[in-house]
Amino acid sequence: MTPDDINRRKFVRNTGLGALAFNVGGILSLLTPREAYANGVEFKLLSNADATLLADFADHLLPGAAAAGVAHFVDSQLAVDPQECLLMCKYFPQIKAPFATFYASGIAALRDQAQAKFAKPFAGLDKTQKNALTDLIWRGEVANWDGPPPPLFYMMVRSDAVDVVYGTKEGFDELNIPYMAHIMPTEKW
Amino acid sequence: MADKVDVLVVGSGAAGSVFAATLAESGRSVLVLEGGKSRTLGDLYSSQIWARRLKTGAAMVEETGPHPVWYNFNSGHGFGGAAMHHYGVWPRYHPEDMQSHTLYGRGLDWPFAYDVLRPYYDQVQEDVGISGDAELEIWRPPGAPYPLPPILVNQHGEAFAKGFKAMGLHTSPIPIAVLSRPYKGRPACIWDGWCDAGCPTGALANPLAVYLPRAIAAGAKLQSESTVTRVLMNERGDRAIGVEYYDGQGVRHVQEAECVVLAAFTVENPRILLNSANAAAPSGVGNSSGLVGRYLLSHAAVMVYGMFPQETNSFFGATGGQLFNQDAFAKDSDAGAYGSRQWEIGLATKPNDLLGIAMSRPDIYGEALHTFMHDAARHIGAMVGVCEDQPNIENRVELSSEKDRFGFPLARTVYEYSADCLKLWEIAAQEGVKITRAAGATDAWHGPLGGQHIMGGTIMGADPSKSVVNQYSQAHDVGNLFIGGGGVFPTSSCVNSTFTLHATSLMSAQHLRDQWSVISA
Repeated sequence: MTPDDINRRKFVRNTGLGALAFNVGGILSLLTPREAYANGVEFKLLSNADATLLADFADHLLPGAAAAGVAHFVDSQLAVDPQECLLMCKYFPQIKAPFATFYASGIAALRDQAQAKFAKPFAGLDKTQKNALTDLIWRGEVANWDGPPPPLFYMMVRSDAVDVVYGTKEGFDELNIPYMAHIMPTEKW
Repeated sequence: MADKVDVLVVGSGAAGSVFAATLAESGRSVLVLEGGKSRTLGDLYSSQIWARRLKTGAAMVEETGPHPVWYNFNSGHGFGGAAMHHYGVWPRYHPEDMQSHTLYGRGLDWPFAYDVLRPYYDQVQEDVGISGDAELEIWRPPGAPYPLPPILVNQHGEAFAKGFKAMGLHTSPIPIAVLSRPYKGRPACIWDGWCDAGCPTGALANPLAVYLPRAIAAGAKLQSESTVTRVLMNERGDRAIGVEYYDGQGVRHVQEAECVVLAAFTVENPRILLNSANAAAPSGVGNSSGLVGRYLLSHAAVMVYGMFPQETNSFFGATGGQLFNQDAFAKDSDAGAYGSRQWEIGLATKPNDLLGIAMSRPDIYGEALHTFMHDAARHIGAMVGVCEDQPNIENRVELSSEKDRFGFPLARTVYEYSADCLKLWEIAAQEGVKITRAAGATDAWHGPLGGQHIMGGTIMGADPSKSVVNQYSQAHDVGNLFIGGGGVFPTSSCVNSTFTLHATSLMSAQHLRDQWSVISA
């Protein structure tokens, strides 16, 4: 393709993050993460419990991330070849493929910490308790954390949340800044 | 086995594309083997999320030592290589960068002076079209004027310029390989700030926009998903006869060639050379000096941010910036720290990804993050300080005991910034915050130590016992083996490496072209 072949402002409505391929009732369908969440699409790799906790934590870091489908986004990308993975974790020298190991370990550590500190699941904590635990994780001051470096886990989940909430055309619209795509992603991931 | 080719180029990035175009246009049969996937300009979606496809994800490198070089972030995969996501900031190395040891008793000397490389810089900038202002860029070494006028400066650049001026510092338009006007059939940039995601319009000089189309038009063949694992040698061990590679299905192939060019990125080239050890070269091909992999280099970078009362509209512009400063380029500019520094000012900034708005303040979460994002979307400003590191033989690429799916040992990097470099970084971080405050920002802060650009590992030099390649990036030990890329740089300067690696590759490729009968004999 030459530059002349390209429609430089090929906006496509209701995309921006792009549509993912999800198995809905045995049929492969293209959905956005938000649609996958709303439709209760099965996860490819994460367990329901892990996906729920990941979404809860992400939603605490950036409210709205759960409904934007952060767990489906992460799950879909953990299931692809690391080379094609679209998660920011792939940049980090401390995080090695397969990236599912990193997430599984971090989620398990988060679950254990909520129980150890408050004798409740993370979802059952009040906002003050969630903030207290989050601050410890971000600062790397959480004791007996059996997982990846806690600030790294915090930053990756936070980044995933930002991706689905603000890394999209809808997110740019929410921020009142123009998306200005040269080419919008429209293909199956 | 496929037919023997004249020139086998390993890697389709910045260096490989220059070799491929130059040799194919001289009538040589050229085959480019790329480890990653095929890609066209039409695949470059405007999204910081999709941009991650351009970068390496597989675990090919183990990073050790106190300071990672951020291989996956800095490298690339697929047609065009790392240059597909580079920002196009193209200043030149300065003469003193190439005579560091002679002039200052520090670092290493290049095997030639700046004047030798100058015509190749001029030729490359004519080929690709660099925008800038040679007069206002007061630090610029001698060279032909830029073929294109400077790029857009909007409220973002203007805001920072005020701070530099208040501090008694100079700014100039940034020298950038992004077209401010249509040039040689390519369109001008429309400043939408998606450089990092790969420029599909061809306004930014990535390999798919300039040299690879030339190479293909001249008959070069590009082959994707072909991971080269070894350079194959003759029995005497003094000539390359081809390469071993694996296709996407894991099938081994041999490709014979008259000449081999390794342009597979700074870390991959020594990985291949070390893995090519044979009876005649038990420590690796081209490694009689023992220096393959040694003198790895990186730049220490600091992101500086400000929240301005006025709108900056930083979502517009070029990712590489709008303005430029090298007031601290002189090696002794900063007391107690040897080396050069520069500023790239007014970087186009999107909401997400590593250098985006949200990651500028990773400590903020919850509803406060929404508030910050809304405030910053139109009011944040960003610039980056880049600091020189010194060559250190202990900084290196070596082979890991771990192997990839082809049985190819992973690379292991060992890296630690010099004390000088870390001091420069501290000075830059403090200076950047002061400048940003002087610019009127209501809040100013800097990010953590980051690694930008990877060089060295196959350094050039006049003495075969102290370097891997000669001034033409030709292996001292193997006359028909060339190395392309920033790996041949003996010093890092503080300057973005892509322009210079284009120039050294062009010099090398033209030497191979002009001396073909001798080198291929």
